[in-house]
Amino acid sequence: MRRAAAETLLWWGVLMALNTVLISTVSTLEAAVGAGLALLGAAGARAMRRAADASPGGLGRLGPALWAWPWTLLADTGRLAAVVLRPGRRGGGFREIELPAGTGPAWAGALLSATPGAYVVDVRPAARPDGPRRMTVHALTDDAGALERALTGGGRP
Amino acid sequence: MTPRHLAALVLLVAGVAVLVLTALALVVLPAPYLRLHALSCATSLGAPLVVLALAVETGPGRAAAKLLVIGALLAAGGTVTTMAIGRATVLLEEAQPKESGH
Amino acid sequence: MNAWLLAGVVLSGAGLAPCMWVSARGAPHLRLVGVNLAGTLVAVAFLVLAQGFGRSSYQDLALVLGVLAPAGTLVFTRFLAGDPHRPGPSGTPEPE
Repeated sequence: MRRAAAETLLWWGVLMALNTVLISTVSTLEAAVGAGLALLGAAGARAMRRAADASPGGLGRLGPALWAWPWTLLADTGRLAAVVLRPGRRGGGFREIELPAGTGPAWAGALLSATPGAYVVDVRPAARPDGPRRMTVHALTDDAGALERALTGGGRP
Repeated sequence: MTPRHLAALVLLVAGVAVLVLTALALVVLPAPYLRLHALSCATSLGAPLVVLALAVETGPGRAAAKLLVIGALLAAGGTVTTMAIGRATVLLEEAQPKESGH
Repeated sequence: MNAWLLAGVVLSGAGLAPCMWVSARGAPHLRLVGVNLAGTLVAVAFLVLAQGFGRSSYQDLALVLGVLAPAGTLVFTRFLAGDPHRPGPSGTPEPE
């Protein structure tokens, strides 16, 4: 019950912040209407999250991944430019990467897909709960970027 | 030209250059899998650079926050759709063993 | 003509032309890539033109497009690829 209330409050806060940023003039009436509708939206968001059975997964390796992400983004854009400008050198392709136990595949796959270097195509179900997860990604080049090394811990399966 | 205006112009040129690069990559790179990398490049780097240029030009305040929210929305939406299109392409390409050549 | 309007012209011309080329050829799932990138480029063009014309209300177009374009792409992928709970490329069925 407390977790439900906390989650609904979190959604409500996010929606109220969005509302305050996006409206043109901030007044009491706008805030009141926004608060009411944000409450409805928060209830709906929590119901949707539970219906989709979504959870962020483990947060292991979040720090190294977040640190590596901006540099990988810039480096991968350079790799994309090199691949576009030199038709002869195109490697890449599908490969499997293994996330260690405790790293949620949802946010790890999203971070990886947010760089031009790779995008996630499939996630295998866990062989055992809390075990390592395998993802199939399509990569731009054959060498793993900094983000992929940060997520997988360096080794390839 | 104030430094802020100059910084906004530099960011704008960088962002537009990245976006034009991604459009070029869409045509140059071979279908069907390699060119999908251009989609995530456009929404993760190109659009946020332009949004950052606009936010710098607007100056601190609620208007800049609104622009940054729109940029974050574009980045998140682009990441999700890149994964969705990638998976749909894999499923459809596997289902057709004989392709027409594209 | 200022820098923002020029950027809008470049994005609409040099950016959208390859997208329309890609959207005009091939199987549906190959055309979807062009449609998706065109949505992103148009949203950015809306933002830049809002600044160029000096009307901040045009930014709301980019906000609406930023919400609806990914939703439309997901609708297309659902139509094209079918049941999302089909087995993935690795062959194992998806968890429920």
